[in-house]
Amino acid sequence: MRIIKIIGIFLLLLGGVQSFSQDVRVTARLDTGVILIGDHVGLKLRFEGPSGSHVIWPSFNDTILGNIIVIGRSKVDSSFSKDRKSLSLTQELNLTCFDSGFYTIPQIPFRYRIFPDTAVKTAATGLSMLMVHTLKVDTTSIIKPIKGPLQVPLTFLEILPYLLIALAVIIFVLALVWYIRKRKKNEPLIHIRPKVKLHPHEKALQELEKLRIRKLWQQGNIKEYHSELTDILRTYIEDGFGIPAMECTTHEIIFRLAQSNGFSKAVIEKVEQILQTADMVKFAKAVPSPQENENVLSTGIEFVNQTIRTVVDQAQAGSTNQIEPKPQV
Amino acid sequence: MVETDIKALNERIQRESAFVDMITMEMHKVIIGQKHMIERLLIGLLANGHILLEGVPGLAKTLAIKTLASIIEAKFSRIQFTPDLLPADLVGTLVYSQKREEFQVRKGPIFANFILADEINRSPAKVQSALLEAMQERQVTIGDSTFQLPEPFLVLATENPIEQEGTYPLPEAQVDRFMLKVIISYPDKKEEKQIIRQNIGNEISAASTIIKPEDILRARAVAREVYLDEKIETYITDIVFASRFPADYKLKKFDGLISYGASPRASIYLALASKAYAFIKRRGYVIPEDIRAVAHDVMRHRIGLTYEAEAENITSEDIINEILNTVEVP
Repeated sequence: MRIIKIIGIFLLLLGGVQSFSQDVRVTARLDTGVILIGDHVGLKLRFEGPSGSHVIWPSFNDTILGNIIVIGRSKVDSSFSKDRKSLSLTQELNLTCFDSGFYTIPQIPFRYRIFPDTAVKTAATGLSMLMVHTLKVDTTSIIKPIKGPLQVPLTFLEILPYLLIALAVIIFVLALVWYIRKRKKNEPLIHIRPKVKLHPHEKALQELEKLRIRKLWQQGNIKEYHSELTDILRTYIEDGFGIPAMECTTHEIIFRLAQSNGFSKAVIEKVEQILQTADMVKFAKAVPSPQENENVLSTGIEFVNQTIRTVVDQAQAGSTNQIEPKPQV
Repeated sequence: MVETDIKALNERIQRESAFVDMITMEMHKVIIGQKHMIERLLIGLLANGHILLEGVPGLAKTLAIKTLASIIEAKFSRIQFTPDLLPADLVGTLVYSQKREEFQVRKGPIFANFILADEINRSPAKVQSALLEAMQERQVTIGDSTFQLPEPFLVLATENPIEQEGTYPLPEAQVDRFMLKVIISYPDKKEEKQIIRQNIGNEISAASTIIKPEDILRARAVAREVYLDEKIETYITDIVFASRFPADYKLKKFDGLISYGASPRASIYLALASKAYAFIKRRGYVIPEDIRAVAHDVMRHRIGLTYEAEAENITSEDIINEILNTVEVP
């Protein structure tokens, strides 16, 4: 054992022999000169030269000398000196060997060219010695059984897919149970709360009340007040009587109301008065008196109240949804 | 109800538009029926826009404009467009005077207040362009000299919907310069009888000259003052945009049927024509009815149809009808 150590120290001194060629220096240095059979050892290749150097990096097969196997190699890493005058390139090889003995890693040639010189030169590393030794077998002790493979503890990522599958199965089973119960009870799968559908007159009266509370004209928003008032009434006429009032002018609305049955002349005159007043406000900058502003709202409410019967009748007759053909302009 | 400046404007319009009834009355002395055409002639006159008339021969197109010219004490020219007509025949040319030993300008028939360009599609593009350029610029250049056309200057071009062989259809860009395209239809039975009576009797009806061109120019200025609210502007924009992007206005069925929608000129002319219409109706402000009244005449020649639309017999009239029935009225 002592002899091996001495030889190892000797080999270490030999290892990492450097080669110099002009301004270029190439080295191949082993991490250690003595390894146990099958152990890993690093071989660091290094090229140092001027920053204009162009190097053809030596390539290796999977083995060096047949017995030394290259099991890994890093990328060639480059770095410049602070003054950027010199360049340094390094690569680390990971080697192993499965046969005991002394090995000499041969010189590794680096071909390079230094700009602007066009000549290709070669610099080689020195020899490196590697000793691979085996374990000493104690033949006096009893033979022990072969150890089984080591158990690596499980990570969360390895368990995650199984957890997700289990969760999905649980959800599916629960959903199935829920569905079967619903089917047995003859219940709908999803309860949708039915929307309370107001009658057109209810909706109109509600909107008119909201408009009154907002006190638009009292705040000076007269145009907005009349626009909203007519929009409420036009929507009521459209929903209640199937007249496309939102797309009709005042004249057309009055004409259509007069054509349809169930409206007295007085009722039509009321609508006409509201719509014409609104037209004057909307399109002719008219400013009605406060009394007129109050009157149009109350007239609007009166109009809705007086025509509830007509709307209900039409709804019962199933004609609410029958849209009359739109007027041809 | 308190009306501020609109009230004053209404009063002015009442005063200034008095001649409208007089013109209409005088026109009806000579023309039986054709109320729509006469009203559109007045719109063109008041809004300073030219009119393209389409109708079969014999519907009093020439007579209408000739009568209008005589009522207004204005100069009238009728130009019959033929395939061999040259731009110089229209705008005028330089003629060499042997007496003066120099070229002299001889002005063409375009130098009149009212021009009837009869069957405009019978002349080639260069003559059409000469007229349309004069319509747009309201001036004509002969040789080195530029001459302003008289005011009022109103061009009424006619197109015959039949006998399309050997015609030169007006390009879209040229048609767009006409404010209105008016379709003239046949008179009804009652009117037809009156036409017979009027034409077989010994008494020849003639319109009297009642106003001067200056009155028209003054009325035009007042018509431009007619109030057009922002809500009406929005309505105009919606109508025009519906012709360009029908799907945005619940008119998805017209996707693929309109090759091009109405141009910005349509918006301008809708506003101007509706103001003139409101003026004729003695109102100082525009209401949605005014827009709807002129929409067909302003837009029908500004909407391009695809082959698919033609195959399905969909006309620009159908599209305008549907737009007016779908776009919300303010």
